[in-house]
Amino acid sequence: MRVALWLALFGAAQPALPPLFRDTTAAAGVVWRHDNGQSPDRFLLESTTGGVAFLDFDRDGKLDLLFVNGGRTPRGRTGASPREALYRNAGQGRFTNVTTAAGLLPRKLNYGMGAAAADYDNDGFADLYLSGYPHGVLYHNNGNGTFSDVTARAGVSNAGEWGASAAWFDFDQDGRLDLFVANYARFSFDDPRRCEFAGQPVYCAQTAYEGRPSRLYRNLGNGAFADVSATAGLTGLPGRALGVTAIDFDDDGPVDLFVARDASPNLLLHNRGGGVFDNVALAAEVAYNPEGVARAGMGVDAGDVNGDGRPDFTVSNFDHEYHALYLNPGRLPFTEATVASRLAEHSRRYVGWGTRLVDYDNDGDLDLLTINGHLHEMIGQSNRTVAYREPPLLLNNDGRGRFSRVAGGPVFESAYLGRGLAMGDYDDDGAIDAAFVSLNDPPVLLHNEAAAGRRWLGVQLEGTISNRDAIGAKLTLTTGRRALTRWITGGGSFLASHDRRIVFGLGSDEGPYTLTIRWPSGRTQALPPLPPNRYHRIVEEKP
Amino acid sequence: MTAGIFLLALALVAEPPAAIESAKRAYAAAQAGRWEEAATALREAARLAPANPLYRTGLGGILEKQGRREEAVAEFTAALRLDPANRQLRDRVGALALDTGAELARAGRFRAGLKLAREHAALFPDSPAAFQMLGLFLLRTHENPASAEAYQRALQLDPDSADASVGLGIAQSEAGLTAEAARTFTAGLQRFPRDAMHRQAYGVLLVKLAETGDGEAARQARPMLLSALALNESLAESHYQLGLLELAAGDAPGALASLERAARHGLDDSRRHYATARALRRLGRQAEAEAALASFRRRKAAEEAAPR
Repeated sequence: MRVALWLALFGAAQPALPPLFRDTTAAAGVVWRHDNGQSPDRFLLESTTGGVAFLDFDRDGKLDLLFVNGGRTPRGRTGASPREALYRNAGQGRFTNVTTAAGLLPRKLNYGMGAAAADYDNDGFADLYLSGYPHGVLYHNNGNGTFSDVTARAGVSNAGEWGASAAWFDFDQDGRLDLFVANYARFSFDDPRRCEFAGQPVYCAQTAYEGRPSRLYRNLGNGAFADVSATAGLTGLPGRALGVTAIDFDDDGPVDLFVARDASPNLLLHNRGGGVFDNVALAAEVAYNPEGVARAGMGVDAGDVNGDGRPDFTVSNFDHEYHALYLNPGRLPFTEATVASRLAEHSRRYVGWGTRLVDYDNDGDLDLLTINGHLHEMIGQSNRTVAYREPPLLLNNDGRGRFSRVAGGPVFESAYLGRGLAMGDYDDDGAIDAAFVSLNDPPVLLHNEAAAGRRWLGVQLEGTISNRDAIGAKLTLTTGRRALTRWITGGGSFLASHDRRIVFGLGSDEGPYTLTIRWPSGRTQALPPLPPNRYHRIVEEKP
Repeated sequence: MTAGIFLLALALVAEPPAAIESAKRAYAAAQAGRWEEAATALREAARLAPANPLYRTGLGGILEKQGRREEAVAEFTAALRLDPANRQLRDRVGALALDTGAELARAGRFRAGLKLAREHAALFPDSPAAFQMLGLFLLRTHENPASAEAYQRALQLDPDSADASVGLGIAQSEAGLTAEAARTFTAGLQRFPRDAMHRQAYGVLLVKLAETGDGEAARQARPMLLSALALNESLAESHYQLGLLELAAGDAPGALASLERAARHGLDDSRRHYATARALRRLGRQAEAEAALASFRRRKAAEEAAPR
């Protein structure tokens, strides 16, 4: 009675808190819809699609948006042919569909998965790699608002494979971006796998599909790439790869790779130079969970979670496996902090996909946004606490690597079949926005309103000796009270590509704000103090 | 049922002559050890005289003799449906179905086991063993809430069954009904205070709850596992779980000792080898850690190759 009275007096009078992220999809004019071609054959492919990218394809200084669709399946739902959508940022929060004008139609993908945008030929314009089955597509940006399919000439079709996430990075430090494609499993529409749960057809477990090796393509600089997977040591590492991020985890210069794999052990590929990678995941204790079980790794991201200047990793996994956090102590093994960080507690019920370490509130520490959604419509018949459609998770970092869940707004109280997640500041206000894809639904564009009023400092790097996108750069910003370390990574999240700019949230830190950059070329550049609350374009000094 | 009784019984039943002829052929074939021919002839007899349980019984017997237990159970079950008052047949079906279920569980054939268990529970609605078997196979096929219901029924039928109580708690836990599971285990501890399995299963649940932020569970987990071992020192899983807790707490020597005890009590799965490698690595015993990892890889490969 007392409680009821209290609620009557005060509960109802509480004003609704403004959302931290506001759903601006409709207001932005984004009307595309994802279609996975869901079939009675329950091809597992259908459950893993839905890519998204933030990129400034027309170099007008405003981030545009690309969505990657699934496709038709032999006995799947029919309708309009699934197609990608490229939305040009028209400013004022509005986007215009320019897919046809940009030359992305007619569609070159058969069944689409993800996107990786980067300027692989250093001409100043973002190119696009789209992964899919049974091949991927490389679109060269012509610099006039259109793209051309150069897959055959480039030799990056990844033919016969089910490609998932992809990452651009310069593994051999020659100033040209190379391409890593995370391949999932042997697959054919002619070979459906039949599984049942409680008498109903369901997607078979991933273990019904034999894992495949991922591929590494070296950029030769003449528009062509060479498949160097064998010499790099990848062909001996088959497994169901879904996510990838490229970052120099041990600070030795060359960029390494973390590959999240689904019921296959994760890979931590240390780049030892000479074009060779060593898988150190077992020694790093990131291959398996603490009991030696390979989790269902989907998305992966890297960043300094605990403020020690070293990159840590987070991997999104299946429900009751927990989304994992691996802290980097500067040596092997890593420290699994999944439980200590409270990620286990927050993620227990969810199947995670897109995941991004992002300082959403610009207080200076990296928070975590994860998009979730199950595969099995009847999951409730297995576990009463797990649902088919699931809400996104927004977790706030206390600065020491412990996370608490925050109410981000109505989207975070709604349920989705979330897959790809990309982050980018589409209105240049210094607050990083988000876009994600939900299976067979319209996408969701989220405007960040959490960072309003907080100080920030944005940086856009342009490599000259290094690759122009500066993927692999390490940035250290020193404020009056601490040092913040960030990296420009390749890949990250799931099926996604992000804003290449770095935003440092400054919280209440006073200046001066001094920035040191270690470029992918290995050169270090120290800058004079920079003013906050704006983006700074910094070009790599030539010797 | 012996062949002689079988033929005598036939003589007492009004049958289509063709069915009796088939049965005679079956008898002759069985006498000569031609089991397949006998089975074919009995199938024909059963087709011609579908209301006669004896042909299905005989067929079941031949199939059982051939080691085709699942088919034998199906035939005996069909016979029992035709002759539900036959106590001898009933006992035989009951025993064979439970044996066959255990065999299917050992072979990892959980879907086949579930089919058998469903039919068995329908046939024996008052058998706690039937519902325990059903609970087991529902659990193994991830129909966890239904598994909990089956174990609940088993416990209603036999409130003295500690196994049914443990099964219920585990099924509730897997179904996400953790509060219910905790209540089941708590009640089980009172009813079966000397049952170490209750304490071990509850300890495992407490470990899981502790991982997801339950402070009280974190305090209770270790004492619960230790209490299980005080009752039965040979519970390898309890030693293993303690080893994991000690590893997480940074007590590598303690973890290694617990894991070695788990090994001594027969735990030889990939989990134990992996945890041992982690403990050895933290103790700076790199060569032994590498050897443990090699064992882990071998066990893992064997487990992944095993039927599911």
